[in-house]
Amino acid sequence: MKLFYGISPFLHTRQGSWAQSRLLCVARIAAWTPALFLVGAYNLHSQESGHPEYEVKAAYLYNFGRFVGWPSKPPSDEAGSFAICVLGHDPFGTTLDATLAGEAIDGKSVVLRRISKPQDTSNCRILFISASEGSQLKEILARLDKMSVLTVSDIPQFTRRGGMVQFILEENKVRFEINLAAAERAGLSLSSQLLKVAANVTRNPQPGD
Amino acid sequence: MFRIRDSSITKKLAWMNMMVSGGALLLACAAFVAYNMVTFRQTLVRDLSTQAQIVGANSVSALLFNDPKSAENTLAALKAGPNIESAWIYSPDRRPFAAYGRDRRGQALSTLPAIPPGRTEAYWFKDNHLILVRSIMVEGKPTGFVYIVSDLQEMYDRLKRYAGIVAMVLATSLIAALLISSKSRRSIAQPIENLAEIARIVSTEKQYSIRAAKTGNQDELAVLIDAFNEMLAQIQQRDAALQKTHEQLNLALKSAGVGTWSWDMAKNSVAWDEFAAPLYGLEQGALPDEYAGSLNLVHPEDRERLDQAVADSVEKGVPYDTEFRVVWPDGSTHVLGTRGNVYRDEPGKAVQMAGVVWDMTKRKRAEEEHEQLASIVESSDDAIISKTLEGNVASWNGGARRIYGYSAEEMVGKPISILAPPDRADEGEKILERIKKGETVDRSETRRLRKDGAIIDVSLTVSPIRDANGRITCASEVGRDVTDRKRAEDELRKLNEELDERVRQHYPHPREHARDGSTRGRLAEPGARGPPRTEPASDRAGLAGRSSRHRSPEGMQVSRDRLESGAVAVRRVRPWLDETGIHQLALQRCKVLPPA
Repeated sequence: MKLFYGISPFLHTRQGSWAQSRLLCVARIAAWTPALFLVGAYNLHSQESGHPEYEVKAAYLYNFGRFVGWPSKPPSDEAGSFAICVLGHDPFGTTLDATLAGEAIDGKSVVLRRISKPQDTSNCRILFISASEGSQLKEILARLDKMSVLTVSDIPQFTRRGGMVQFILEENKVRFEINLAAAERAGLSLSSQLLKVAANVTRNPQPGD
Repeated sequence: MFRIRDSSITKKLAWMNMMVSGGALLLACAAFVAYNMVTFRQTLVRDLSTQAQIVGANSVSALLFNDPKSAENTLAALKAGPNIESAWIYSPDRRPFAAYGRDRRGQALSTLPAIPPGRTEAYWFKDNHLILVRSIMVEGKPTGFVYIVSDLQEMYDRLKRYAGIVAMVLATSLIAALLISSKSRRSIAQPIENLAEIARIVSTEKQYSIRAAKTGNQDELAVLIDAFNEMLAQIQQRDAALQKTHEQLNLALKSAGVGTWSWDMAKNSVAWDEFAAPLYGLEQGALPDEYAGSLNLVHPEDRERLDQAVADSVEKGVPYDTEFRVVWPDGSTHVLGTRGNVYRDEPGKAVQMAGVVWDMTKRKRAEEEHEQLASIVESSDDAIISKTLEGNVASWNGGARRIYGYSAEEMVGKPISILAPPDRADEGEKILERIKKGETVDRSETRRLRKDGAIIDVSLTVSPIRDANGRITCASEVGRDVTDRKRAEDELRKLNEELDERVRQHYPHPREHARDGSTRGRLAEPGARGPPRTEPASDRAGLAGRSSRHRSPEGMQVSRDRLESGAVAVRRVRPWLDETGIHQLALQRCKVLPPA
């Protein structure tokens, strides 16, 4: 999707004519505005103010949805909803419910699903794989192969093992790594905006994929 | 100090052209630059706003995922915009999130300026900077703020460029204006300058023969030049006419012996012309130049009267026309006539008096002589008459009235033949015939008919009167009543005959007596001259009577003596008349004039 233009817009401004840059800019804003969702600002600073780590992660989980270009044909049979699923033991508690309540992504209302079996993931757009599922991760990822589901987890080495987005803690701050190859293989295009805020982006296919 | 209003037309035109073109251009340039600056400011704001939007959009992920570094990377791209001095991204709770400074000068604001409600952006120009704040909106909710500070260097650079262009255009147009005005000088300023130069020559050198050159155009300037030339031509004509008049006047004054004077009352100065001095018997320039001195030239007896005449003329407007006597340095007295006008200023105050003065001594003398002679003629006992060649009476004196009984009123214009007795009707004609030939009828004895019908004996002397060309125009006639004398002569002759007869009878030597008698008798002949006697004329009448009454020899002797002296007395006036020329004078009036 044309959600984001990864290259710095200022290059356009300086190189192209003024009118061109202006047009581009307008197009960009027009594309942006409906796509963006508000993220609770407090989430950003939650860890600083002593909020639990998973509050931040919950916000991030939701925010990821806005920086991903989804395939036009949703894999879900539930048209009109955007499913965010938590597989295995839910570390968020009620935080995630509070975060996603009333929100929408890609023009669809966000629905939270807690699932326990990997085979239930077919309708999910974003799948958080709990650390509890680390043992059967390979199986899970294999099942989701080419199903356009953004996989997120805080399981160590998650991206190296074929996952797409992995939460990490850096200087006591929640950040994430991205395995771009895995996402592209799944037909998802990740926004450059998302890539540039990622702590690490793996662009080449990993041996674990 | 240089003042444009005192400079020449050429300079004024050049200035005007330059001011107009320069002013118009400057105004146009100012408007253009002002418009450009306004639009450029709008452009600056728009550009900055665009950049803020881009930065904001690209900072969304950084804000959402709490990654200031990424935001700073995004902000660092602003380096490409050389005008952007510093920029910040603020978190939604208005705390600085990421910063950018071109020269590391940027200082984050402790409090972010507020954006008016309902708007996503605010900007303002402050201290040569453009500051813009834009909220990063996601789904209508603020996710953060972009704060950009841009300097206005670009605008100033542009202004400088504009100033340079304006200066160049202005300089070019001013040069063009100068060129154009130098062209227009030929058609406008040059003719005016020429005209001014001609006017200067005319006014300073009084040279009216020069003319301004025509321009060949048909504009107002040509009209002006034509009118100016026309005016000069008129002045020349008037000058010539004035000169001619002046010469004629001088000639007239000179030949008439008339001098002019003018008295400026304010300065009390009297000016005389060259003809005035001789009238006072003075050298040129010797005449006094003020009123009192002029009055001193006048005969003392006339001074007061003349002064009064001047005063009356000045104060009452009485015409100044009088005569007065002057005493020349050589002591002779002359009569001068004078006449003048008083000139007054606007309120009517007399400021000047001017007039003429002339010598009327001769005329005065002639008048006096004329009057004197006329009174002599009038009082003469002889009838002094003038008559035309047709025989009509032209003048008639008192003697004529006494002798003929007719008054002047009755006779002037009437034929002289009224006086002829019936038996001598043609005598007048004959006399006139002789007069016409230039002959004089001297002491012709004839008879005339008085008004009362009496016939009297008269002795007539008729002479032709000639005009200046010698032409006979009329005749004078001096008649004398000789009736008594004739009678006396007749009686005397009879007495003599009687006496001679008696002597012849009584004395044997009649020769001695006869010789003696004839000697005495000759004395009584007309034309004889004897010593003048002062015997009264009235005695003459009684003489003859007494002679006839006393017929004794002694009485006869007395009668002869008396007769002799009476004859002399009767004739004594004639020589005097001839000497005084009264004869000529009396006959100046040849033509028949209607009775006064």
